[in-house]
Amino acid sequence: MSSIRIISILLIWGYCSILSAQTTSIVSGIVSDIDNRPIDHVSVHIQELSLVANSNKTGQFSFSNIPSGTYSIQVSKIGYDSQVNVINTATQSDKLHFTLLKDTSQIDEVTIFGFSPTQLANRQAYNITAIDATKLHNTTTDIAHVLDRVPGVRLRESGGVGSDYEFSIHGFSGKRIRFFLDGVPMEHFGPAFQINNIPINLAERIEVYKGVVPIWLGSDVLGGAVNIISGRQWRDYLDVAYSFGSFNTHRSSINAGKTFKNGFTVQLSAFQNYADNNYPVTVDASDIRTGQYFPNSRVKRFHDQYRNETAIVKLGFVDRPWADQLIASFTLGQYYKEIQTGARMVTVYGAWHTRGNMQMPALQYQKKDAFVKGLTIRANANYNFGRDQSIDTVHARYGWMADSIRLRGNGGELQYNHYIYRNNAANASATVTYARDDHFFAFNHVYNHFDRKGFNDIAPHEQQYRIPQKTEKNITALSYQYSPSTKWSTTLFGKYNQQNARTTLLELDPANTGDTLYHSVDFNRSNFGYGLATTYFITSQLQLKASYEKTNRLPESEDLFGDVINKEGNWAIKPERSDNFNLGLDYTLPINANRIFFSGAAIYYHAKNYIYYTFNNIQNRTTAKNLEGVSNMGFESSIRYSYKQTFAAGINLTYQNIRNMQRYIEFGGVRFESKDYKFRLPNIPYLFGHADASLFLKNLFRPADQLTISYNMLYVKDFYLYWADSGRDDSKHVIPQQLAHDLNIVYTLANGRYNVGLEGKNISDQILYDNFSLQKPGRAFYLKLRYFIKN
Amino acid sequence: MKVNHLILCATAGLLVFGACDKKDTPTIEEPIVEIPEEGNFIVAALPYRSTIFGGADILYTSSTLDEGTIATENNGLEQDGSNRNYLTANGKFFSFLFGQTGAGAVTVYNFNAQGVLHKLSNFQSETMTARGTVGEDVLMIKNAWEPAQDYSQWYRANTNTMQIVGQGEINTNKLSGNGEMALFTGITQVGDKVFAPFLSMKTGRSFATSYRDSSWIAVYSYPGMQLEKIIRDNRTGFIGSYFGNGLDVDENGDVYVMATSLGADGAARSTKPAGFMKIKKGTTEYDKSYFFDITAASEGHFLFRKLYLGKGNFLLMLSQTFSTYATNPNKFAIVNVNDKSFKWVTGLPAQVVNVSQYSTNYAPLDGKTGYVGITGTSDGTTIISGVYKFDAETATATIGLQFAPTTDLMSANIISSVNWAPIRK
Repeated sequence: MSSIRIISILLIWGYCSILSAQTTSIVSGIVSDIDNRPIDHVSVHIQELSLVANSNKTGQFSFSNIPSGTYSIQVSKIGYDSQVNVINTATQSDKLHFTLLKDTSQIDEVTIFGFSPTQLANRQAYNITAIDATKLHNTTTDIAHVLDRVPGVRLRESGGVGSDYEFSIHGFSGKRIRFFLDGVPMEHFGPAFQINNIPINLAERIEVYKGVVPIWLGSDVLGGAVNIISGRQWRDYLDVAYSFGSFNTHRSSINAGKTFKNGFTVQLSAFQNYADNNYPVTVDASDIRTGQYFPNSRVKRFHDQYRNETAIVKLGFVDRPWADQLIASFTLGQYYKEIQTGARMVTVYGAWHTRGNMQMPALQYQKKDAFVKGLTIRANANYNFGRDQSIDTVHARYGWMADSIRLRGNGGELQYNHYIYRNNAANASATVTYARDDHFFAFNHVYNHFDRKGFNDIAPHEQQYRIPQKTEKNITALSYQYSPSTKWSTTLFGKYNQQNARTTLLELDPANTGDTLYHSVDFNRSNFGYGLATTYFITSQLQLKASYEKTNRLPESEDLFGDVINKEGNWAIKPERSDNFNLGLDYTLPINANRIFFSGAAIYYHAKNYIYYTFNNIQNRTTAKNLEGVSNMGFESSIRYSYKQTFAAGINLTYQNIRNMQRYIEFGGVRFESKDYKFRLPNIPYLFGHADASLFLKNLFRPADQLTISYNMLYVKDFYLYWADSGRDDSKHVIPQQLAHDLNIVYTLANGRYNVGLEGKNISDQILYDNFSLQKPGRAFYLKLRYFIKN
Repeated sequence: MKVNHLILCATAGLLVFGACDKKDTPTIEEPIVEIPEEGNFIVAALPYRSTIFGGADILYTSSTLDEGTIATENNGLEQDGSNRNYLTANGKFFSFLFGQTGAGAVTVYNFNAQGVLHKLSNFQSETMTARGTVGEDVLMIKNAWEPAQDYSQWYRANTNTMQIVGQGEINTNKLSGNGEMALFTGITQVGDKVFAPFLSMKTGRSFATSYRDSSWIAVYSYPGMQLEKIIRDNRTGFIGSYFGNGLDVDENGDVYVMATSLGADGAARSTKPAGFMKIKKGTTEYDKSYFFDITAASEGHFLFRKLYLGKGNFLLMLSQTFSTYATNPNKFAIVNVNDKSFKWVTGLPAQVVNVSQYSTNYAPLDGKTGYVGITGTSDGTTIISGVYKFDAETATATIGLQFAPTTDLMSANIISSVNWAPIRK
């Protein structure tokens, strides 16, 4: 049962307190829990005025222009006992302080994934899945694998730790999906800092936007975005973790921070990954000399080591009158990655590798109520002057038995180069928002600069490696949200993208065929997008969401310039445009101590000038091309169930139907129409899902301990590598059905201070592929030890 | 270019007749094959949409190329990728993976007694830029792409054991002796030697060259692969083209060399004509008195590919549009290298949109017939795709074995190669 405690402390800030006889006041305060930790997204309701505000990350809320009078202020959030406080603006002089107690008779809303409908309700009307990453801090996963469990998301990897991956949301893949770290685009951060090597401990919360993306995640996204929120809610904390396991995998992380009374803060996030990835695979191993195959040999991978070390140091001030946050940071990282295979398992490399580093200073500034109440300013800038290399200089041929033949003379395994380059990538962005009553305005501008300078160390004078490759992007966006009540809100937005690029095309000199001419080219182009997102609560438990966006994506620098190694540039590549539609329904059903949450969404998009990759005309590298159109009609649905704070389970399924929309084709000088042009594209999974179940047993052996047992299952239906209707069925190349089971046991002592986790991945030792013939690891075990204190 | 068993047989016959004493130097064994041999045809094709999105060649078999419709429903063997290079050697059918620059598998098939194609084995090899049958071997070259790579590699695969039995290096930077690197375009067995014509270029990335008006053929001993000579000439530009062999050996043992004079475009184009040159049997020099100017005979067309029909007759594939890599020929002619006659072929669709010219086509070497896979349209809507039978006597082409005509380009099947392999019991 609930009990009500009333604590009244009033503070009236600044000039308002002098004017107690004025007709309007500011009513503000803070909501915290029993440990004095701020609670965000608490609904604060001035009942007589029908005004609602939500507490922010620091638990604070504020109402302005409140006429003098007596009001009942109700403070509520799912999972807590609500409170009502009666205040009189004439006598209330201090800031309000509400302390909410957890409602133990109701279900803990925050399950192992932290799907929190209340949080979503307070957000915009986007199709979003929010993950409470703190619940996963005792697991050995990285951010990419956590995201893989979100409905609609598919992570396709070609190996173990640190391997190449493709991340897609509803079929939108590659660079269309943008990643953000605390709202800052993770653009050109480099391989030392990617979602598949960032441990989950770095994140507090992860938001996955599917389809339409709010404009304050500024970028030319097309299809979705992921925002990793790393800020911590505590002033002082230390989180140290180390894990080791199969295939000589060692991963550790430190996340620590201290905030002093004067607001000065120091934070450190450092992590490393190391893995030999020497897991056994089944391949047709061949004798290196005769070429004879020994089919279905079981061998270990031998040239697949991956390691990276990255550290982010932040210094700055928080909660000052002139800034909520002013933080200077420096990210230092490095990586080393061996490449074991080409596009097929039969192509083996034994020496080719890449390595590089990241050196990125950054500055972040944030201030709420800057100059004017309700006006928030956020700005950030960073510059990465790291360097990368691809080293293919050993002239040998390797085989799966780890044997090799050294070949005479200079050469490499794939080609022969040692390409060293710097991207000189800079990002700067500014967001200004203004909230007043039911209105919310937001303005965002992102600037992105890329200037690759590189050379081939083997032939430093070779001009084709040295040509300038520069692009600049400016993206400006404006949005307006109207939320007249807790029942519905609508957002309208517009975006303006501008890109300019410059390079040098090499041509033969007409006068002298021995010479090369340098022809500088550049372009400057812009386009415009817009959209709408709206949400309506049919009942407080049933939420309807709809959104539409006409969006543009500018070509990546590698699409324009190539990457010297495997990709050929296409200067004529055009930006993509897409019409995205999203319709979703969320339903929360509490039954006594049980809670059930249903979520379903339908997605439709039609992308024009879709950028895809195909072989160039002499078939030795791939190049980017525009396809007239690609469409997708997809569905995702998920059900989550939880019982008190003891048991949680869920299941989700995604279906996508990605089809070609290119109708007219120019072939051999003739323009043809293709009547049956809406066929499904090959080599894309179309049905996949996840299931999970977790048991939380508190106070099992000692007080304040907890044992958690979780199970995770991944399912991907088999799909064809090539066209479904070509060739005899028994000769077709298939990516077989995937069914992977993971089990996880975590024991925590002293309310989370000491943690031990044991994980088994792919415990049924299935042969798993995301891409044709490229096997992922079989059964693997990992142990994680973690120490965590906070203040 | 695949060397037909009939030629091997004829040459073997002549050698046996001509060479009375056996020397100590090892000679290539010529397999004596009974004529005619029972066999089936293999047509490699892929749906047009594979050329956009990626896809695989499908191997369809048929007992005849002269008529019939190829069924596509649950029929045909799917390859791993658009393998565009096929070779029949020693009764087996070889499929070479192409386009991945790294190592890849060569898949070997044969026909079982029922005439059904089935996979015998794979063996690991590189992505080869040139390949040809030499005796019972398949000789392959993996070319260096840039001058920084000093050597190209050659490999010998034995078609009985289906394994690599020999390999070595060729310094392609030094081959032409002019400071540029060499890119081989083909391998042809001539007598007991290997003739390998090559292009000269600064780098494989651009095909730029300072020597656009020259041609080269490297002559190697076999199986030792010792360089014996380089046959040079300045009457034409390059011999053959990228992935297009330029040499054929006729029934008399004479070598006809087709120079396309294709290379880099623009002002770097060769100033010389395309045409045939001749190397008399047993020699390694051109018969300078012979030159068949195809540029003149075709009134300025560009010569892309050829198919030898026997008795001095060639089916030529040409185009009015220049192309460095000889892509998309759309006009055909019958020429005879003995009487230098030139006749345009009629009977083709009004618009030819694709020709199976990157890989092998089939000719029974009866002196008058050739089969090439062609996709085209007469009305701009219906797509006709099939194996066209060329008749050298009438200079006409008629469609034989084909896919059902369709109005849907994305599903239309584009033929990439036409081959034959024997059925051995």
